[in-house]
This record gives sequence, C-alpha cells and structure tokens, in this order.
Amino acid sequence: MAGSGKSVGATTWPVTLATVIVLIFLLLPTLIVIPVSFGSEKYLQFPPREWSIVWYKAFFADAEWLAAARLSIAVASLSTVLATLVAIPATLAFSRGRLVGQGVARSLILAPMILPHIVVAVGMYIAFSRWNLIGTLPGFVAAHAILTLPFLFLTLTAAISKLDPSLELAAASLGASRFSAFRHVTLPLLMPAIAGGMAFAFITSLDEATVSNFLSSSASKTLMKKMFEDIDFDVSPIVAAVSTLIIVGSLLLVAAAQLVRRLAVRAPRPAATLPAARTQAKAA
Amino acid sequence: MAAATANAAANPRGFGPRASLVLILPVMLLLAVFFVLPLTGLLDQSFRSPDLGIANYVRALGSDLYMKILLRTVWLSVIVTALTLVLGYPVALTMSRVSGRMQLAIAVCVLIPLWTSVLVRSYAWIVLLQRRGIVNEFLLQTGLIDQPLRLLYREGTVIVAMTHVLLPFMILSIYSVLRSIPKDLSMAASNLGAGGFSTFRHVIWPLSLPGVYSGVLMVFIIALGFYITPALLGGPETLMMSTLIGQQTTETLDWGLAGALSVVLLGLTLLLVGLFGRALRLEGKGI
Amino acid sequence: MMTNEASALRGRPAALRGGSVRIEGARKVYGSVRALDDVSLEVAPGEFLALLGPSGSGKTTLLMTVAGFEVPDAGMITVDGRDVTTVPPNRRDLGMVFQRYALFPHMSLRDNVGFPLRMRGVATDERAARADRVLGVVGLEGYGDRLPSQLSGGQQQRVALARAIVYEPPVLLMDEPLSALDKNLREQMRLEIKHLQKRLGVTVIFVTHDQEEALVMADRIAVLDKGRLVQIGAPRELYEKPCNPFVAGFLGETNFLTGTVAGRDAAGAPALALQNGASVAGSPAVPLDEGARALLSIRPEQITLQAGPAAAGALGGRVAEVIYAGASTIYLVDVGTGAPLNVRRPSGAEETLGEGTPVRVTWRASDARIFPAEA
Repeated sequence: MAGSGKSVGATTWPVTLATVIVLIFLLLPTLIVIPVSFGSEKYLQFPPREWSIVWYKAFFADAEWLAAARLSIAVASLSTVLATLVAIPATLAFSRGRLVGQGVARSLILAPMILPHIVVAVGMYIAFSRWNLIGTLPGFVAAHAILTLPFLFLTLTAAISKLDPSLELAAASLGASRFSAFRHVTLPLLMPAIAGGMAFAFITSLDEATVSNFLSSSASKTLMKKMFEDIDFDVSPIVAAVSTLIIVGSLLLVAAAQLVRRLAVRAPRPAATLPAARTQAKAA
Repeated sequence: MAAATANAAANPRGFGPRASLVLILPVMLLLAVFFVLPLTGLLDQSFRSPDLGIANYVRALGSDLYMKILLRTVWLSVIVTALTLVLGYPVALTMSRVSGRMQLAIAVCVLIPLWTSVLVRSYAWIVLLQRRGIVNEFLLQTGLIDQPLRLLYREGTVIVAMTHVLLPFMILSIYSVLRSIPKDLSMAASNLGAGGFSTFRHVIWPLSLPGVYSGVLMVFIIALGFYITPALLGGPETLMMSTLIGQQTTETLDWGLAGALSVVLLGLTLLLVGLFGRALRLEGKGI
Repeated sequence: MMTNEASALRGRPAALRGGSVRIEGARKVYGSVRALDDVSLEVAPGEFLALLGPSGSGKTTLLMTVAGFEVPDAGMITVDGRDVTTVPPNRRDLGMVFQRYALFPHMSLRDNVGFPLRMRGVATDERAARADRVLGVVGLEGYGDRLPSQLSGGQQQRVALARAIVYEPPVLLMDEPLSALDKNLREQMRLEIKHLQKRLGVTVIFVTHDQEEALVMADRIAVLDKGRLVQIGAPRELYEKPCNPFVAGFLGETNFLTGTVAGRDAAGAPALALQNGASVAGSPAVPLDEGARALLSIRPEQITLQAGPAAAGALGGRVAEVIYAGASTIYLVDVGTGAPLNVRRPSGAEETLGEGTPVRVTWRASDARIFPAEA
C-alpha cells in the first residue's frame, strides 16, 4: 500500500512521449510485413490496393519453400531435444554435484552466446565442409543445439536454484534413491522451466539465420536461408507472407509457453531472465 | 554462487565428483566436437592456409582497407550502442514506473520485436526503404520528392536497422535493474526535498548503472559480430567485419584470411568481455 | 556492543520546534476498499502520536497522506496551519523514517544524511559538518565514510533517523521503523527514540501494528480499523477505558464474556447475567438498557482468584491449566461459558492454585468494561 504513491510513480511527460515514440519505432517496422503480405501486386505496397492471399497460396504451392520449412521445423525440433537432453544433466552437475573445473565448463557452455555468431558460423562452415556435414540434418542439428544450449542452461540453472534443496533431502529421508528423488521430485518441479526453455529454444533455432546461412547447401536450405536468398535477389511478397507466418507462429508458441509457466505452481519468473538469455543466444 | 557450491558440497545426497563428471560429459562431448574443434580449426587455418606463418595476420592488420573496415565496425557498433541507450532508457524507465496493464502493454511492444526473427525485421526495413518502398511511395505521393530516394545500402540504414534489432536487449537489461530499485528510495528522496529530476539524477540513474553497463556491453558485443542486417541492408561501402569474413569464406574462399579476421574479431570481443565483464560481474546476475 | 547501542542517542542537538498537524475528514478509496473513511485528528506540537491498527486498517495510508505520497480523495491536511493537502512531498519539509530505512545504497552515510541539505542548497562543507554532527547525535560518530551496506540493522535505523532530522523538520513521520529489528534491539530503540524525540521537541507521528510499542512510546494513540479512527487518547485511557471490543481486544490481552444486562449487583454496579447463571459486574462504555445483549471485557491481570467454591449467583470455576511464564503465571479457568478465562498473576507472590482447584473469580466493577453486543 505504501508503494502505491501516485505522485512519485507518475512519469513526467517528456519521458512518456519518448517512450511512445520509441515503442512505435520498435513495433511498426516489425509488423509492417503483415499487411504487406496480403497485397496482390508483384511489388510491395502499403496499404495494399487490393487484399488477397495469393502470396500465401504461392508459398504453399512452392516445393522449394515447403522443403525449407520442413527442414527448419525438423532442425528446430531435433536440436531442441538434443540441447535439452544434454543440458539437464549438465545443470544437475552444476547445481547438485561437485564439479572439477566448474568455471571452465561454464564458460564453454555459455561461449556460443557470447562469441560473434559470424565467427562460429565460419568455423563450423570450414569444419563441416571437411566432414561433409554441409546441408545435412545432423550438421544443422548439432550447430543449432550448440547455439540454443547456453540459453537452455541459464533457464534451467535459474529454475533449479529456486528449488528448495531440502525437498530432495526430504525425499531422501523418505527412502528415495538419488535418481528417484530427481525423477519424482526435482524433474516435475522443473517441468515448467524445461517446457518454456524448449519452446524458446525451438523459436531460436527457427529464427537463426547466420549459421544457417553458411551451413545450407543449394539443395538443402533452412527457411531463413531461403528467405535470405529471396530477399537478396528479388524482394517477392512471398517473403512477407512467410515472415507473417513466422511472426504469428512464434508469438503463439511464446504465448503457449507463458501459459504453461503460469499454470505451473512456483514457476520461475520469465520476464527478465528469458529474454536476457535469449538476447545473446540470438546474437546475429 | 559460493553459498550454493558449499551447500551442494555439504549435501550428502548431491552428486560426487565422478557422477558430476558423467553428467557433464554429453554436453562437453557435443561442444568439443562441434564447437571447439571448428573454432580451433579456424585458428589453425589462419596460421596454415595457404602457407605456415603469420602472413594472414600481416594481411589482415597491415591492409588499409581491412583496418578501415575494422574501424568502421567498431564505430558503427559505438553509434548503435549509444542510440539504443538513448532510446531505450526512457522506455525502461516508464516500464519500471507504471504497473498492471500499462506495463504489460509496454512489455508486449518490446517483446514482440525480440521474438521476431532478425531476418524478418531486416526484411521489414527493406520493405520500408527500398526504391519503391513504403517511405519513398509516401514521399512521392505527398509531393515532397519527385525522384525516389536511395535509402538502402547506406551506412545510416544499417545503423537504424541495427538499432531497431538491438533495442529490446538494451531496454530489458536496464529495466531488470530499474525494477529492482526499491520504491521507497525515490519516496525517501522526495520526502527529503528532491524534485522529480533530482531524484532521478541522484538516486535512480546511479543505481541503474549496472543495467546500463551490461546493456551497453551486450549490445556492443552483438553489434561487433552482427551479420544478417549489414549483409542485407548494407552495400559495398558499408562492409563490416562480419560481412567481410563471410565474403572471404564463401566467395573468395580465402579461409586463411577469414580465419585471421575471425581471430581479430574474436580477440576484440573477448577483450571487451574480459574488461567489462569482470567489472560487471555478469556471472552473479540472474543465476 | 550493548552499552554502545544503549548510550548511542545521548548527544545534545539543538532543540527543534515541534509542528502541529491537523487532519480533517480525510477519505481515500482504492477500488472498492475504503482505506480512509472520514478520519479527523489533531497532533499538538511536540507530541508523540502512534497510529495503531492491524494491517489494512489505513494507518499507513494516513501517514502517506501526511507525507504527501497519497492525496486524499476528500479532506484537508494542515501542518502548522498551512494547507498541504496537495503539496508534493518534496515541498512539505517533513522528516520521514521508512520501514526499511530507504538509505541510498550508493551514497556514504555522510552523503545520505547530507542529501536533504544538498536539496536545500547547503554548501558542501557545511553539509558535511552538519551531517557528521547529526551522525554523532545518533551515536555513529566517525562512520561518515561508510556505506549503508556496511552497517547492522540497528545502525541503519540510526542513520535513517539522522537523515530525517538533519534539516530540522517540525514533524517526523515514522512508518513501522522498528519492525525490521530483532526483539532486544527493538525494545531498546523504543526508549531511545522516545528520549530523542523529547529532547528535540519534534512532533512525531508513528505508525505501528505493535500495541506494546504504541503503549510504551506514544503520548497518545490513535487506533484505526478498516479505515476509520476508532479511538484516540492517552495509552492508559485506551487500555483501561477502551470504547469498543475491538480496541479492548487489540490493545493488550482481554477476556470476553457475553450475557444480558441484568440490573445492578449488590454494590450498585451494573451487572451482566451470563449463560451459566452467574452474574458479574462491570462499567458500561455506553448506557445500556436492561435485558440488552452485552459483551464484558476483563483484563487477565485484573481478575482475582480465591480457592474455594463460589456462592450462588457469583462466578466460580475450576483451574484447568497453569502455565508458568516467568514473571507471571497464567491460569486458564473453566467457568462454564465456553472458552476458559485467562487469568494472569505475578509468579510467586500468591499461593499457587493447582490444576483442578475450585476457585472464586472476582474483579472490581470499574476494571471490567461492558459493551453492547453488536452484530
């Protein structure tokens, strides 16, 4: 009650005005592709003279676009699963174990989000060329798992640090083995964080363009690579339609993940940690 | 962190050193093969391709062109960082002051761009700024110009688009610190005679500096290695380190030089993380 | 450490001039909650007034309206005759100590205490000198260069106090300032703050939910409940003559007995007939009709127990439980009216009554209060 002082909380108008302008600057260019995608002309228009869904039809009729979309979804799903499977035990080793060289291991796991993605991309490109992994599913999956790993790791570490370790002790005192204490106590409590983290990892992989750009081959390219090429050569409104689909799909997935968190009791707060983590995971 | 470690050590049901090693093994294997090996391979290339020696570094650092590109990259990153700070701070401030629906509305405006692909957002700027793009059409229709302006492939365009892409990171970084400043501090300042601006200058601003520093570091580092936006929106005269490295890798196929340039960029980034990261204690934050 | 803490507030600052505060018909509504419902009260210069009430009673909201952090929907607040109802907090010149002290974590103690002087345009040198002097007053001489995080809770409390008095405000507002301290330190600080207040002559409005704190520290106590001012008066008056069952129950411990008003007892005091047939005496808080349902409140320490069976019509019972509590011993006496009576007697002073002993239960009519049984 004491904190609700209105005279203190009130924002002065120049700050408010600046905020409104900046928010418009943030939002408008992001969302402009949506109305543009519903135009009918060959070149981009805003607002469209005539509303139509020809570019969506074109997308769903184009084998190359569909192949790219399928590949991206497969890569995002598999890399998310792979990253989660290695991140969970790693998190446990950090927060519940005694790890030699903890600092080094931590830096290594977080490195992919701090190092410039162009360097990572070029390094992988050169190595993967030798190993014949360019344009292959295992290549994409390994690369994206590494890029989403830091961010899953941070989410899980944050979530596990909020768990009361005495819960596991309680389980142990009730006769649970270390593994079954984890399986029946820790894991269920971590589920919302895992689910949320996986959703964000999925989107991060889907949206990742830099590494995908280098690891794609002419025969096998992700959705982002395909878009990149299309934008570079010829700005077709199909790209606007695809962008719209991606925006809507991502936001639905984010909303679903938030819902999972909200439904779960004791869900860790996502607002600050997740975007901040994703922040770097996504670094172009 | 230290407490947590001590806790785990005291926890009789925690995992021992051997079990911990087994748990961390999968992630380390994955990273060793697909991350460390490629990066060391890059280093290896830089010293061996085509001949053993430091020729690639001499080329990378001795060339006026490459030095110019390096300086441009740093300069653009500085400008973009400064812009995101100036534009982002008021938003973070407002976000920390309002509550309920207003706060949610601002958060949504900040998060939607964050969750939208960098590629899509760069594309959006093309839609806006190309020859027959929305801005030119608008200016032509209103008669302000009679020839479409060349808005794309310029340095300014790259700056605007990069600022747009990186702004949410700055806002969230500052906001996360601002919201943790207890409300009663500004109430106390006000009670002690400080007006709105004085309260901001003497209390809020100094206390928000950790968020500003980490936001600046984060945005600057991402900007240094930014690829997609400059590649799409930039022209030959706005070549940055990232686009140069990309060119050397896939077009010129000069992997040795690409490696040397990568090592330079990597070194610059790590230097910054080392210098500021320590001061900021990024480690302890949020974990 | 103890002696240092105890002697800490001993310095002699210049006396301040206490200001008067007047609140007239203050109302404040949040949504459907009436935080303040027509509250009026006056605080005299140099007075120590405690605002006492459970959480949600409106005591903090009332303090915030005086401080200027809340603007009442209706009503007026004047300080020394000046209407400050809509004056922003930074122009009110009132001192305030916050619940969590609200020390600026990035400023040294000297800068913290000097802050209000800085806002008032006092030159750097003088600022430092005055800050150091006031730090000395609160027993933190030589601590000027430290940061708040280097201090204990009690020391932070003293800095908050120093910062609030350094610019010599006529009125000091305190929002549960002792609630974050541990029990021993809290009890010690009560007296120290009270003594400092008397020496300075400053007017204090002190919010607390701790009735003992209010009793010990305040010249007068204002009891609030659900946004209303229920009773205001000197501690003794409130404790001995509560105006309703809420005040009786909130301020100190008490026993409630329900019954109907039944004429007068042998001594001429109004009597209450209980369900168990016994008749007990008390003094009505308001005139009551015979036959009306009523509630009697009697404090545990004002009940007398005597071994032996009660006469017909008098209150008697059996000792159900004896609880030794150090200085006093608590007797739970089953008198056949539901909950046992809680009786407190000094330990050792009187004969011990064992569990199961039949006892006569009496009290002076003037010690018991009879309220109309409402709702």
